[in-house]
Amino acid sequence: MNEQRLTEKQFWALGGLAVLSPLLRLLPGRACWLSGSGAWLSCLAAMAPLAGFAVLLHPVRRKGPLGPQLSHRGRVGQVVLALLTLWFWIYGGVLLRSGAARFVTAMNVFRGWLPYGILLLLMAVPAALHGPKPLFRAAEFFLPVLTAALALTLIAAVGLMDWSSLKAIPKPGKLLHGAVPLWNLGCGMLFYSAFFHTGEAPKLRKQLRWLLRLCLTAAAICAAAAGMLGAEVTAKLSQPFFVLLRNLSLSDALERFEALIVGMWVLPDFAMLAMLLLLSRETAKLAAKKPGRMFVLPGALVMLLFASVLGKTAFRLTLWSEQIVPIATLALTISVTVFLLLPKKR
Amino acid sequence: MRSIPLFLIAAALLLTGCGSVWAEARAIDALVQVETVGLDAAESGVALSICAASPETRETVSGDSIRLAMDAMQQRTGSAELFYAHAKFLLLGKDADIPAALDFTARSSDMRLRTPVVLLKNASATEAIQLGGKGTDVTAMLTALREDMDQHGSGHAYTCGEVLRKLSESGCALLAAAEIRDGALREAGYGILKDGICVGWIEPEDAPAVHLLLSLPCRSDILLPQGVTVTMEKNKCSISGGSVELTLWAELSENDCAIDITEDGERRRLEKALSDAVLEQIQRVLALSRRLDADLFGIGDEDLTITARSRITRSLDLMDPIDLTGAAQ
Repeated sequence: MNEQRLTEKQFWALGGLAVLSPLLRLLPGRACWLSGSGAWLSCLAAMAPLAGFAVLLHPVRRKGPLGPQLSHRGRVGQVVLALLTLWFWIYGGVLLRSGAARFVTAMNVFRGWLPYGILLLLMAVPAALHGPKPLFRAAEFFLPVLTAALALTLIAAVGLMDWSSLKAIPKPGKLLHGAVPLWNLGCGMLFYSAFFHTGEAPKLRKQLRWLLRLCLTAAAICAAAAGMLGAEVTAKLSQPFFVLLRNLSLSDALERFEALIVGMWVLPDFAMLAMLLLLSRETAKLAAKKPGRMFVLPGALVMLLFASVLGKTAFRLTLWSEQIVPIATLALTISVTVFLLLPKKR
Repeated sequence: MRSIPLFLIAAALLLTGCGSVWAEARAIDALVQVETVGLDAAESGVALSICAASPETRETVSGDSIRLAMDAMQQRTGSAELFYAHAKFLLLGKDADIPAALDFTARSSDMRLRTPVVLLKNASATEAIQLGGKGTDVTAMLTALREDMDQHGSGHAYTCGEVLRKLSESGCALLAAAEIRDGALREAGYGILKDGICVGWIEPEDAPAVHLLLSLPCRSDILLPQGVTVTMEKNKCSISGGSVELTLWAELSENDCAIDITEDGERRRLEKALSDAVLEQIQRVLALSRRLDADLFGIGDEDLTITARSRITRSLDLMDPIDLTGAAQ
């Protein structure tokens, strides 16, 4: 993706926007499930493995975008590119379903996922066809809006929290276990970022700063949910953050603003989906050595097809979004990074 | 110019949920806003009672489950849709299935976890819903009761979410209790929940001890043996390592016995009497929670040393009693 150069600031804006979609799917529920009321500490603890991965990935990033590097790795590189293409499409399918599930659950509407999925793809396909620049510029515009909404939510939650619920410090094993969801999210986003070409040399300091912001945001979300709803209830709710929203009130003058926030959360879904389509466009282009644009529409159709075969129940979706996708993300990101760190065969 | 479509898409996205293809948009004037939801155990499963102000509605129906009872209630009340999302109170009858009610509230998108919950000590929610007459109803009574309880420390209406959180964290929780007396709702202290079941009651006269132990603000009045009444204005409780330390600040609010509050010795005697009275309340509440094996205050099983330090900071408006004999002149 060299044709349109981006600034680091633009990239991290898109990263910040896109990560909000899986962030609220996995956190605070999954983190509270794994480490109880100490989930917020687990999110802070995730900074250590995330920083480790950033340091591991940095030398690879400095050589340039990952796509061309993989294409120069012979047949294995081509296979990896094809696998990554398939993975981006599968992940897109899960994202379509999980975004729709969030919308349906939070808005209490008894409709299927298809209208949401089609609408999201109708927005993401043109964005992916245009290339990364407009998407990244859009992210620069949308991110402050979403950040403000999130900040407002967290501020409103402060007065309703039971701070004593957050005092329990989990045992080290549990603490690290609770860090896994955020670790997987951060690793995934760092890895995806490495496929884009920024006009300037990648700086480790900026990546670490972005990761720190991610960990602090995640910790604040987990603390608000566990402090207000309790860790057990948070872990058991299907959309804890949106239940938290439903129960917030700003001085009894403003309440029930979850519909607005759920509506806004379409933007991170759009950003993530468009990013996955852009990534698959790049990897498919390099794997098949054909123009990337021709893979955007088929990619969107595969995402739609995969979303439709995911299973009709929310329980099956949970298995994918909470188990299969995080494990596959970690496995792919770490193994491909290590593969690219290995010296090339002469 | 190229960014205009982007802005339009953004604006359209923000409208999602308001009459779009997904949301069942409802006009506000086509809704009956349910203000109090009552639940009781019934032969057929659950008795659901509702109280709404506009149009005035007080109905009870039975169903095999809460959801089925809600459906039956909707059919009973006619075309206007019953809207439960802004219910002000959840009222549980003395035989209500509390875990089922809390589970329903957490699961249902119709109800909210921030709804305060009140447990009836001697009556069913069906009876309570019918209380009141023209211009007043059970919601108004509960609102007044809640404010009164908070102000005087005779109870606190915890929300469904708070009760669920406490139960999930420690297996026990307190529920504000009320009873029907003389055709009205009266405060009845707290119901003690253990594993979701009400296992005992804290009487209203001991309820201020709960406020003290939980450091909740309250202005409770205590009549001391000397015959003077003091009002606690501030309190602090620190619980650590088997010791409970209470610091109380009170003001003298009624002095029928003409005790000279400006005299140090008298004031110390009153302060000692206040500490003793509060300690007695606290001991009763802690003894009850131990007997029921319900760790309501996060104290654990340790042997406790409880100390109270009181300060009577002022006498309301009057410092010395007024000499009504004319001798002062």
